[in-house]
This record gives sequence, C-alpha cells and structure tokens, in this order.
Amino acid sequence: MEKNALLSIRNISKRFGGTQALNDVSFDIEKGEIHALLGENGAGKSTLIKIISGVVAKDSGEIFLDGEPLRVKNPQQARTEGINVVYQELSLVPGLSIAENICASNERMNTFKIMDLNDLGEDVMSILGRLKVDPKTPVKALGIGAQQMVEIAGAICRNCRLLILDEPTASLTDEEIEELYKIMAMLKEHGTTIIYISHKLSEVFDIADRATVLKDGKFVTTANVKDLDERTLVRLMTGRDLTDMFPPKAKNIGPVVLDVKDYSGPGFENISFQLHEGEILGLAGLAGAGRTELCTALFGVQKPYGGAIRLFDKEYKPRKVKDAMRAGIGYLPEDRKQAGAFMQMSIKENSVAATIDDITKCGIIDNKLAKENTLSMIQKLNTKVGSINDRILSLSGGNQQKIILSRWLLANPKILIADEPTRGIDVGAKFEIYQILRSLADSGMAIILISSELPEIIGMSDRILTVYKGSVSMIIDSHDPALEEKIGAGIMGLSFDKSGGEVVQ
Amino acid sequence: MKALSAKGFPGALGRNSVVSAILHKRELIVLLLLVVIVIYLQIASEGLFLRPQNLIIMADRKAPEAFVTIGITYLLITKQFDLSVASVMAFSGSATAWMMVNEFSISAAIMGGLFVGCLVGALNGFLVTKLGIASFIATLGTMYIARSGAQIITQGSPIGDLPESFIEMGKLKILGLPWYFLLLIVAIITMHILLKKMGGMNKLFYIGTNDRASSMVGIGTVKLTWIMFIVSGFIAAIAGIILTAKSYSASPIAFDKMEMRYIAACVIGGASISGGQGSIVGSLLGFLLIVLIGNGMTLMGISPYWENVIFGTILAIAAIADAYSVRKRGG
Repeated sequence: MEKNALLSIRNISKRFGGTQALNDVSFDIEKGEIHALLGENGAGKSTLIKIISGVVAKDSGEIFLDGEPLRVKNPQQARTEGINVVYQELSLVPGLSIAENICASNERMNTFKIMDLNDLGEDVMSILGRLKVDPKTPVKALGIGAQQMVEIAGAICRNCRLLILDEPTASLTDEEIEELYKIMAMLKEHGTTIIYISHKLSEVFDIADRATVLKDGKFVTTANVKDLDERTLVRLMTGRDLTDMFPPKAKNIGPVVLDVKDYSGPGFENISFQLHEGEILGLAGLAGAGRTELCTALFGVQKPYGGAIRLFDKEYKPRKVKDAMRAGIGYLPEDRKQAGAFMQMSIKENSVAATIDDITKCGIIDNKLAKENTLSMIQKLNTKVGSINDRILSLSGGNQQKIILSRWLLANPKILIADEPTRGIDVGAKFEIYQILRSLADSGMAIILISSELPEIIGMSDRILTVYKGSVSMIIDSHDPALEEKIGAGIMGLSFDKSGGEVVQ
Repeated sequence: MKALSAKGFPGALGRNSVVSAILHKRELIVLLLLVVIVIYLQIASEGLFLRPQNLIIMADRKAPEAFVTIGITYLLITKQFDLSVASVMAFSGSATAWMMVNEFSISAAIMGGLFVGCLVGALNGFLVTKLGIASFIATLGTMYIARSGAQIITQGSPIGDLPESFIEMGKLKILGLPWYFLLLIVAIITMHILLKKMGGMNKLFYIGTNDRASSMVGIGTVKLTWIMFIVSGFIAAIAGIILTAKSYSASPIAFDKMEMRYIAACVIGGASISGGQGSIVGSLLGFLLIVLIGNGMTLMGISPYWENVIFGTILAIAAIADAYSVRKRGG
C-alpha cells in the first residue's frame, strides 16, 4: 500500500449472476489527485463505484480509506466517511432553491433542527460564486450545467474526502465543461480527491492526474496521464488501435441529392450547401451554433423563414416531420433519452416506431412483420439484446442507440441525419456505429453527421461544413492538408489564410 | 435517491420478475378481485346478489356511465386528463332535452347533443394541444363551463315531458337485456382490440410514453391528442343522452362530481397518470369493481357512508401499484 493513498482497492471481486463484473481489481487513489476511471461499458467502472459508495456489497477483497478498512453498507454510511458520488442523472428538487437543495441533501441543520441556509461553507460559496447566482434562486431556473454544479456543491458540502463524478459532462456545453474544470481544479487545490468517470477521452488529458483503465472487469493499468496518449488509452480500453477506429473514406461519391440555398430559420441564416449520394457530410460547430436547428428544420420540425431546398431535383418544403420522412429523410436525434428512445416501451416497439404506418395493413398492425423487421435489424447491426419484448431501458447506451438507428434504417431513408450519434456511448459501441454509418454511405445513403467531437468529424466525414453563429463559415474537403486548423478556425468564426496557414481575424 | 433507483442494482429486475409480471397483468388482478368480491357478496347476501334481477338492474343503471371510461382511458394513455366528462354528460343530455321540448325532431336533438359533446371535446383539445395548457387545468375549466351550460339551458331545473318515442328508446331491450348494455359490451371489446392492434390507436402509447420522441418519428401528436379529446366528449355525450332517455328527464346537476370516479376506475384498471399505460377492458373492470362494491354494500345493508372509505382504499392500493411499476420502469 502506498503511503500517500487515500483509497486503496485490494483484490476486489464481484459477481452478478453469470457475469464477473469485477475480477481481482487492485489499485490506489492518491490523496488530492484527480483520478480518471476509464473503460468501456461493462468494464466494471460503475460496479466499482457502487461498491466504494456502499450501493452494492463486494464479494471479496478489501478497501482501505486512509489506511483504515472501509466497511460501508449503504450510501449514507459512505457519506459519513466522506465519500460522495454525483451521478449523471441529477437528484435535485426543481422547485426548491439552490441553498435548500444543498442543505437538504446533507441535512445541514442548526441547533434548532432547522436548515441553516446561510451556512453553506466556503467551497460551496465559491462554486456558487462562479455560477454568479443567488443561492435563493430555484434550481429549475438554472441550466443543466449549473444544476450539475449545484449537485457537486451539495456533495462537497458534506465533509467530502472523496468526490466521485460519474460522467458529469455528458449533458454539458463546452463552456459549462470549462467551468466544471475550474471547480475541479479548485477542489483539488483545497485537498479534495476526485474520481472522474468519462467516455470522452480528451477530457482525461484536460483534467486528470492519473488514470486507471478497466477492461472486462479486470484491472489493466494505472498510469500518469502525462505518460499516456489517446491512442494508447483506446488500445488499453478496447484492445483496438485508434487508427482502425474510423473506416476508410468514401470511394464513390454520387450526384447531388440535397441542394440547400440561402436557407434561413430560427437559429440559422443564409445557409447553402449540397449533399451528395454516398457521402458523409460532417457538420461541425460549437453547441448553439445552429447545427441542430438547421437539421431539425430540414426534418420538418421547425419552420424555416426562407430559402429553397431541392431534394432529388424536386422542390422540397416539409411542413411536418411526416413530409420529411416520406421524402426519404431520417433523423437520429441528439438527445437519446428525451427525443429518441421510448424508454418504457419494448425494443420491438422502439424499433418499429418510425414505420408503424408501413407495417399497418387495413388499419391493423402486422405484429409478425414488426417482429421480423426488429430481429433482422438487430442481427444486421449486431445489437445485444435479450428478448425483443424487454424494455429498451434495459439496454446499454450503445445498444439503445443501435435500436434507434435501426428504427430509421427500417424506414429506408435516402438521407440520414445523425445528430451526435455516439454521445454517451462507450468506445466499442462508437467503433461499431462508425462502421455502420460508413457502410450505409457506401450503399448509397447520404449522411449528415453532427458532432461536437473533432476527431469524430475528421475521422468520419468526406466533407466538413463548419457552422458559426448560425451561418456556414467554411466548407472543407477531408483531404485538405490543413484540415484541423481550418475546422478549428471555422467553428470559431475566424477566416483562414491559405497562404500561410495562419488563422487571422 | 433518484439517481440510484434509475440506475438500479444489477439484477434487481430479475429478482422481482414474478411481481412485475403480475403487475403488468393488472386486468388479471382486478378480475381476480372481482371474482372474490362476487363470491363474498353472494354468500354474505344469502344468494341475493347473483339473482338475474339484481344483475340486470345493475347493468341497466350503470352501463351508460361505463362508456365514458373508454374515452378517459384513451386520454390517460396519451398522458392527458379529462375532468369535463361528467359535466358534458349533463350538458349534452340537457341540450338534447331542450331541443326536443322546443319542437326539434328527436334525431336532430340527438345530433345536437352529440355535437355539444364534440364541441367541448374540441375545445379541450384546442386548449391543450394548441395553447399548451395542462389538461388538468384546461378540462377543469371546461368542466365548469359545461356544467354552467347545462344549468343555463335548463334554467336550473330538470327538463321533463320528453317525447314518448324518445323515452321508449331508453327502454328498448334486445334478448332481455338493455340495448346499450349490449352496445357497451361490443364497444369495449372492439375498442380494446383496436387499441392494441390498430396502427393509429397504438400511437397513443408512443405519445403518452414520450411526446417529443413521438413527434420525431412523424407521429401526429397534436392531431391524435386533439381527436382523443373529441372522442372523449363524443362518448360522454352518448352516455348523457342515453341516461336522459332512461330517466325521462335531463337534470343540470346529473353526475355532478362523478368525473373523479370514472378516472379512478380507469386507474384501478391499470391506466397510468404518467401515460403510456392502460387498457379498455382494464378500465371497465375497474369501473365494475366500484359498482359492485356500491351494490354489494347496499345489499348487505352497510351504511353508504362507508362506501367511499373502501373505494378510496382500493384507489390508494392501485396508485401504490402504479408508483411501484413506474419505479421499476425507471420512470
């Protein structure tokens, strides 16, 4: 055991039924460090966190907190030991104020057993100070990112020695992530140890000191982040090389299928571009730059103000989503939970959601056809499911996404808009989604790919459209030698000086 | 705790699979409960309960009201609420009666009553889908409006002296059973099957489960929701007109405060306030349960003051079962 270890994990194993979730895992979390915990879905990260925080019991092994054996039976006990977990799903009460939420979550009471709303502690106040909000503001008035900060503030309010952040950035914008980093750095300075779980590898390099990789329930390595690079991490996590991550680019790009001219609408202005058969067109831009707005307008969700679109050389003016679908457009939405999945419905019902009318004969749903279609797509996309009558909720993020993708493939679209198709899913599933998208393009589908992850945009797109403040700032070919710099300039709204390769205002 | 329950313990669903399997067959539980109550009532009432007279009286009295559970169930599945049904029943009944005593033909009067029901339903749909008002509030408003409408038409006192042939309609029997009872049975079975099998109706479950995702797959959420409000108003109007014929008069205070009973019946039968769940047969069984308890208590001479205690308890149990199954679903 290292002297400096806050948390020593020794030979932890855990079995759930037939799966060995954790197998003899040992490593140390040092005092005052930010320690990234990495691995694909099913690698055992969540199980390990649940064991540390007392949600599930370990089968064997020991955990030492500051040298003392840690024996917690439930999350409350873990909290008294100073171990706090902030989950991706928030647990705040929307109607209560920030202060009330923070106090309620850790029963911060004064002598009269009344919540002491004024005594929030220094760290909490400095977090709230960063948010520039009054602690009396109701939580529902905050954005999702600010809510996440409040949740963290609530956690550190309770004498926090170890703060565990489970995918805190999944629903945050870039600025909010920056803000989160600053808060994490401040907490670290004040001596809080942080375990950080994320699917976005770039974040690990931004913020973490050390990283531990788990794979299939086994410990792979712990290393200083300085000594790692993205390529190595991916290989450690998946056993695959990053260069193999992305499939080869399009060989045959066909004729123009979609021709957008001077298209304006809520959140975007004067947008013109063309989309070709068999092409993946990357749409890069900061959150709020109008990427999603543009595509939802193309899909008939939002009404545009003006402009002209020709689809397969015919005028295209969708008034509703159904029009877009009939015209051969599919849309894989950005927010899987809110706009994609019918969480409480079955895998089958989710799979056929966009084709109910097609499998309805004389008004009656052909259940046999629904089943066949679902199964054929599950097979085609290699989706891991138990029974197709299980709720989609029971699947991992990656498999949920594949079911929603298969929903659109059943509708047989000629153009697919994929809005952040790999958000919140693990590296292995990402790889598969990339292969699927490329093979769809190779079979003649035209794909618009919206992504906030630059490597994804670069690795997948044949051409890249950068959007800045609602307008197209650049259209770049993927073979361009200065590709990365140009995209970077494009999404920041800078012009690019071709001769020198310099970015100028 | 929300985060924990949503993520859940691995295997938690598996451990409770028997419980959740039963919970998903709410119709079965309610049916079982009904059988138990029937046996108990039969013994406790010394054989009075299952006598044909008693059963026919019950069917005759309650069948028209049972229709409204169909519309309410559709709306609950769509994650909407209709508090206006009982008022619409009175309003439509009153409108029909008023037209008849004012020299309109019977068929015109019936059409008028149905139109009134559809109109209130359309208004509900407009307020909810176009103006974005929560259905609870919107239909609470139209509940008062429709009730007032009935009072204005009738000037506050029941309209009697209805045409003889209209009264005869309420008495018509087929195979010894009231015609509307047979119609109810046919309607329940048809609507139950259509809800499950018909493409258009099946979309209600999608809308109720996730409104936004529904519109992203091209389901016309606004149109369908609006139609369902009209259907609910239409069905309430049918019930109101039949009941007017049966009681020889239209009263402005008929069925006052009954809307909650009907909604409760649907919830007992498995329809969920959180949307995406429910069945027509389940709701009818829930309605039957309420009726049986009322009837059984009368037969056994228990004070009617106790009825609401038992009814409230059953509703609470149904709500707990609902909350439990929602939590299991991670909602």
